[in-house]
Amino acid sequence: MIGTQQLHELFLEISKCIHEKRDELCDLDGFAGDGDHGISMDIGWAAACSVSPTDYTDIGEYLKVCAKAFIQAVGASIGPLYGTALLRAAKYAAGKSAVSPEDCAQMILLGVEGMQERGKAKIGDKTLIDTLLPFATTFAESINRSGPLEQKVLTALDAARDGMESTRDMVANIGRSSRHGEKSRGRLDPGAASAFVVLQAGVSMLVKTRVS
Amino acid sequence: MKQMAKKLINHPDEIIDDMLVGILRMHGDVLRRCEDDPRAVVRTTLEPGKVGIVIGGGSGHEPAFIGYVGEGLADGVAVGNIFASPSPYPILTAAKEVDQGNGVLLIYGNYSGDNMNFSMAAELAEMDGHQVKELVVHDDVASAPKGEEHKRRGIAGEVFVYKVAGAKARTGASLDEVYATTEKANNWTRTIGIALEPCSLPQTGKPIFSIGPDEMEIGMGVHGEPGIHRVKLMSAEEVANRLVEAICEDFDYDGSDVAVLVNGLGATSLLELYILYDNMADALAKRNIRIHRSFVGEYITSQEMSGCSLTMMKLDEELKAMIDAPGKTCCFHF
Repeated sequence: MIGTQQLHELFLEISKCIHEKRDELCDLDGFAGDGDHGISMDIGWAAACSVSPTDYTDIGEYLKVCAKAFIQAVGASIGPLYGTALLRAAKYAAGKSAVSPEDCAQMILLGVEGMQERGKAKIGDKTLIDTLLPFATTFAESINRSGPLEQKVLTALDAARDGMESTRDMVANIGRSSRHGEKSRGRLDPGAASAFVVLQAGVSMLVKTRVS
Repeated sequence: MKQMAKKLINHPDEIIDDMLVGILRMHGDVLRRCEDDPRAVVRTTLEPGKVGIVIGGGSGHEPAFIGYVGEGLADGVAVGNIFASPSPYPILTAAKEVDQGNGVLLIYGNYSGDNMNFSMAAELAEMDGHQVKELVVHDDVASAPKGEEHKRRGIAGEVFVYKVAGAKARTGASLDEVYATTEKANNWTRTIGIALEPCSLPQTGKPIFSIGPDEMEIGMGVHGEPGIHRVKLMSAEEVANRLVEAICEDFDYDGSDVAVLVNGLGATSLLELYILYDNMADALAKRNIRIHRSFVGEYITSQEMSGCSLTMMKLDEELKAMIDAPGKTCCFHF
């Protein structure tokens, strides 16, 4: 089972991986955005990590405070988007001191649906949704089937990678980069790329933990 | 390229707080900053039982939005950085502070940042047990075609929407009733603007767009968003006719009573605005549109942008009463 301590470790891993990719993400964003996407993600996840898991047993309460920390650290649209995901997961987990992998699949799906609702993006708009939604739906659909959990998350991660790669050929339809229209084609969306880093960090941690 | 703008500031990174300190120093009798969030400002005197009205948005549009907090208008405001939405937390703080038990209406302009942050604040407030509704102002006819009104930006029409919401709330109406009347006002309001010269961000002084010495742009947004036509500079009369035509093509005002607002964007003088008002009133008279109430001046600005906008709101008996109801804020007597 997963408690606040395990979620904190997950956030630390995400934060570490995002930090490593920070400059790469900024470069991707520099083309159509203002070039600070890597910094925003770095600051946001570091802020989520600053919340002490030992202060909370209720996962809902813990995630709500993480959402607040993330949003207060990052303005722009990344703050409310990841903040919403954390908040929707918090709502699901309210009152629980531990969650199962099934719960996690549900929390991720609710979180991503929340981001979609907040940002009004759909698949194909060249946003982080192109990475996150395939992961969330693939994982949620597979979670109650038989088979090892590792396989399920790796399959979901493949779907996320395909989704991220698909943004390369898209024209931005939403957000600041949409101003560039056709010129946005040919490059990965920075939000889709950073979302993949987030998922990859989580998956590699889970696979490592289960194997060891 | 226009030269760098000259600005009277002290610390480029602290202009919002420096401004708020100044406003609060002068108007501390009617406004106060919230302890939980210094970017949330509310009225010192709240009216028990009244539905709360919270507004807000980026700074740089003064007197908007803090200038619309007062008697008969909004109860609280969330203050963002220059041209940037406030985060959900000052919005949440203002909403909690003004909730008198009968709910809160959040009113904001239709921009992606404001949409995300206000809707997130609404969700957080609901999680804390507050009843909240959101109303998104979308009056700028130049920002999306007819039939796609929900994609339009919110500009000077926000003033009429705040006025109606504040007046309706004072009648003792419920949150749903305040929402319904305000949404009617929102749907009956149209604005279009022109820009003659760009504005700059005060932190950098750099103009945010460029425009030729003999050009103007029709439909440009209040943050320099592209408009619909870049044309040769026109006379006030030509501008008035063009703006009235654009608005009346979009919504049927012919034969109606209306409220009108001729809004200066910051660097267009009252002298010019009154000339425009007169030309606009002639254009409306030709269409048999009756002006019930007029407002001329700087209501929502964009720093030193030169230009103006024309707003019209169709009035029925209810909206006439709302627009005529007394209102008093630190900046305006309505």
